[in-house]
Amino acid sequence: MAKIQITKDFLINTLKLTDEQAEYYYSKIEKSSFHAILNQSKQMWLDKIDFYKNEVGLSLDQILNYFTLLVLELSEKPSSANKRIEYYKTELGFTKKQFQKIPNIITSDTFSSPEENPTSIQAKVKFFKTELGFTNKQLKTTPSLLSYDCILEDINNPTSIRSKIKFYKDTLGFTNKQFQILPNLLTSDCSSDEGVPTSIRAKIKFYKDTLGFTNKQFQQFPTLLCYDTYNEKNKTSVIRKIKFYKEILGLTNENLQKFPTLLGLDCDENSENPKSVIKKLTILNEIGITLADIQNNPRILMCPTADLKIKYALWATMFPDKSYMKINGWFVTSPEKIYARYMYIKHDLGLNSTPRQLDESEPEFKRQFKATSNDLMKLYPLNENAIDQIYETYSSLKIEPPLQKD
Amino acid sequence: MDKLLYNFFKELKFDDGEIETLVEQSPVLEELSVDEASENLNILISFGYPVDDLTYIIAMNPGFLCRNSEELKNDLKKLANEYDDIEQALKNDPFLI
Repeated sequence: MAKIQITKDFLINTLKLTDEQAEYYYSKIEKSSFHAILNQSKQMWLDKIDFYKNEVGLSLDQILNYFTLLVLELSEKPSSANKRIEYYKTELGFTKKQFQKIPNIITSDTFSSPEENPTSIQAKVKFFKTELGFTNKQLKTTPSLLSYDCILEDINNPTSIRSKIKFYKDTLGFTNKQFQILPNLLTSDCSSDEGVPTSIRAKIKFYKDTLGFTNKQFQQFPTLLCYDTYNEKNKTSVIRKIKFYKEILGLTNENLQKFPTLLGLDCDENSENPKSVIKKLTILNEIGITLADIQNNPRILMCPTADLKIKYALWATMFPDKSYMKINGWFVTSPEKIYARYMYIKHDLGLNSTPRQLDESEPEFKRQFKATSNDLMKLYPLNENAIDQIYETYSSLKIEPPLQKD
Repeated sequence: MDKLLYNFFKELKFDDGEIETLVEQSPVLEELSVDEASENLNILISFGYPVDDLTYIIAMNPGFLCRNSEELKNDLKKLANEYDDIEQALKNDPFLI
């Protein structure tokens, strides 16, 4: 019988663990079927610990928690720890970040082909790439996918990837698109019933019952299924967000059905939070955009605010009657393009334009006015002088609140 | 996030809070390279979506950047057959892709 080399004293004196930590890890290893690693030499342990720390950035705690890592050799064999890690790095582009998320992925079989071992990592990678159109970016975002059973045809195994894919496709009409956008959908609990508040079924029921959502909203914005739909005390819960939109902004279920991504915004009432809708509201208010404007077109809340001020001033000076608010999204098209088109129609053609004409798609604008926006933007650039002129005109219109120039 | 992709978002006038929101809505952006994002953007532009208005569609539906490029291209081909004006169609409904 081999002599035990690794002792609790080694863990305490050499690895500098506390007595409690040493006791915990030692007994965990001793009771496991991998207790033979205690027969390895101290130097071998030290080399492996150094290796995992340096190569993949694991902490000593992680290494001891996933002590099966210490079973693997450091050598040039395909099954060695070095070669497995090399596979993840070169074939999938993994960095320390991925290994830190799921350290025990290192112990999986990376060296067998799908034909040799249908549960190997190579087989799983092939599955995700061929079945769902994944590239490395999805596997890097959710490396834990590689720890799931995706090979078994048995869709009755509720934790298998195949059964989850079937669930989303059958229940919500998902295609590969939703899985590519949000691969961690496949790590969620799709098998528990609606009584389990964290389950996908419970979340779907919540959105359907509370907001009248249909499959369409989930297809458009699958991230909905990641949000907390059950704990109102949680600042980021959807319950609080819905309350905020309805009570503070006066939005309706119809608004949220049309723009489900609003539920992805941060509704933290702390206006210092740079991501919060409150902060955005403050900016919109400063610009002069009213609550009624927001209720009329809530997706303005999702637009970057950087050039909203000039967009708003531009449209407001061109159409002081606010008729531009009736077009689909006055904030959708770049101000440079709108300005150039307006100037061209006014000065070169001597005509009055309508908001709709200015916001036409490029082919339609070209068809109507025989000019391209690119050429017009060179002819009428929205430069510093033009911007000053717009703000000056805007101020003379005395629209409240007045705009402050940056 | 890829530094170059972050810079690209900044050029499109997203501020830090808005970039963080994009990543929260589409976590794959965290692992996306600027080349991968450019590939999908170029596909979109090749179907007639204006370069000047990319900010809008990314703000509304950042997920399309994370999609498989071939599948995105096929979806856009179908949309081009379905809609006369793909720019207007996508401005009306950014979730078509």
